[in-house]
Amino acid sequence: MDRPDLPPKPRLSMTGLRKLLSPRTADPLSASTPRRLARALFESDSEGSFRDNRGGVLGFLERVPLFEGLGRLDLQRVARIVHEREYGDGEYISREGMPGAALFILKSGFVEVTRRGRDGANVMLVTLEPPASFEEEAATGMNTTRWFSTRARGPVSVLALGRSDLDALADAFPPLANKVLMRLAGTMSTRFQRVLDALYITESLEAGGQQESKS
Amino acid sequence: MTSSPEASVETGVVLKRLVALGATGLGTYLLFELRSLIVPVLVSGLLAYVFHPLVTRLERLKLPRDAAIALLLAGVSLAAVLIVNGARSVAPSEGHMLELRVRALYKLNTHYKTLMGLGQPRGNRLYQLVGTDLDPVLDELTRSLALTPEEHAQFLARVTPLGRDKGQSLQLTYDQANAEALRKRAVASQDGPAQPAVMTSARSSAKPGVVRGILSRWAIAPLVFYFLLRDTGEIKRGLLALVPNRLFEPALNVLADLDKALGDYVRGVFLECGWLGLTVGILLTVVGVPLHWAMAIGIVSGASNVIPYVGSAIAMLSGLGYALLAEDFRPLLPWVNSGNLALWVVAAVALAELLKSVIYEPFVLGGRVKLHPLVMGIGAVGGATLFGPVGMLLAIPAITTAKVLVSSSAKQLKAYGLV
Repeated sequence: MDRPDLPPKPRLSMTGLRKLLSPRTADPLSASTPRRLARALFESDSEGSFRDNRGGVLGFLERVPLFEGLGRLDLQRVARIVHEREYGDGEYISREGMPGAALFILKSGFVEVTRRGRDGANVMLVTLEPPASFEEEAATGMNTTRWFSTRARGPVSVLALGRSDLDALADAFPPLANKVLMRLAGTMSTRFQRVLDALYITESLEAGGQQESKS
Repeated sequence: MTSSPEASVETGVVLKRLVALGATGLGTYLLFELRSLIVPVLVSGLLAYVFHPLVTRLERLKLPRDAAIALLLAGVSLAAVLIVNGARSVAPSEGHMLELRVRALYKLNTHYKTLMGLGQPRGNRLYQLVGTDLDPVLDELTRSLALTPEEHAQFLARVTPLGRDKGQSLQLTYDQANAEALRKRAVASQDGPAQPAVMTSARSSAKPGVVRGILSRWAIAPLVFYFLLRDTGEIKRGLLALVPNRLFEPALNVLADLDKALGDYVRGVFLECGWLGLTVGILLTVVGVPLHWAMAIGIVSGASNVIPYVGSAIAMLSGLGYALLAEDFRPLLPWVNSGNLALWVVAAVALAELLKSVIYEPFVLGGRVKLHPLVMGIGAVGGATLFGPVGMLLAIPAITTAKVLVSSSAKQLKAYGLV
């Protein structure tokens, strides 16, 4: 599948983050603070290629950072409980304002994260690519209402891991469920940290800009 | 000739509807034609639900799932063999059954006479109060217990050659007393001809073809049981794969609710039935019912406890039946005797029912799906009408499933703004 014309994928280091959030960047998506924060929030740690579909679900899970460190048997158990779903272009995967029941891992294609603006129109925040995951809090059992929507951009394949699936995993294989939950908690914690960093850097940059203009 | 895109979309929609309609019709037809398989499939499905956590626990102990299932099947088969053997050793033989019926008829008439004061010309006050209502019931019981001429001949052939020992001569005395009682009842009756000392009712026996049919239908049950235990989410994923994307998450939640409610209910009821059966068995043993009989009554009452109050009713009737027939029993409590055994049986069953209501239901079933007793009653009768005794047992889980399905679907559809 040809890759659509997307902005370059940013690095995850602090330098990369600074570059991403810098107002001088040519990236049109990072032109406003909410978009910068959204990009920081959904950034993936993976550096590998996810365009090939070799190895099916198990092969894919082996390369997903969320399941890093799991043995093959554990991955097989995870593969038994995830749901593979296909979405057409423009089809919503999750909708803002609705309760979340599953975590999604993008297997192939691109997903737009949007949020309703004050005028009611959808504002595109960021485009996700494999192996991005979203809605981790839904899988951990937090009864949250979604604050953003996700929509397929072109044909999309995702793996869904429901809260009930994780509950069943916890009943059957507590150590494995514990590992997955720890990874989920780690992912959420990293994202929180990134948002804080992004806010700090944005404020620093703005303060720097004001000083420059004064001098 | 070219068609517009709107027309082709419309044709597609019509086609989809026709296919859906056809599939629904075919599904209904197949369901109707294969209705005899519904009960075995449901029973094995519910049993698989009960044992699923056990297989998971074994798997958690690093045992491969197939080995865990094989171990479980071996355990269940062994338990079934033990229960069947136990039941066969307890179950009276055909000849012994005839003796039991003769004894039961004699005791029934004797106790009824004593209770109603039938030594007096018009009976006691109790008889004057309820005699007209109870007499037909007694007649019906007498009819069901009395021997047919063939059975009576068998009974005499069995008893007469051995008539020298005390027990056997007692049997002959009972038989003569029964014949006398039946003759008197016939004379007392103004309607119809005198009833014979033995009844002429024809008792039908199960045809071999019917038994074969039942066996072939139930042959599917172990297969369903095995494959449901082997399933590690494939069925759920298969069902969810059929669901459109916009309904995926609501369906995921509904299935989770259903799984939890049904699993909890079935396992809770299974445990509750087990505890009730054990309690009934122990209490009846304590009041003097022999251990093998008490345990048999406990198993039957526990198994039938799925239908509210039926388990206790069966325990009560069976216990009273024993009290009616008992001749030389050895109670564990010194103050129990043949005169007051029936009262102690009633007390034991009442205590078991009390324990069930106060301890087992709140602690084992807890806050799981609760149904109104009236709904349970109507459901049980409906199940019995449609599918016989097994349908009666399955009615409550089916109603529970339907209730959770409807309530959870409504909740999820509302939460996701679909209704």
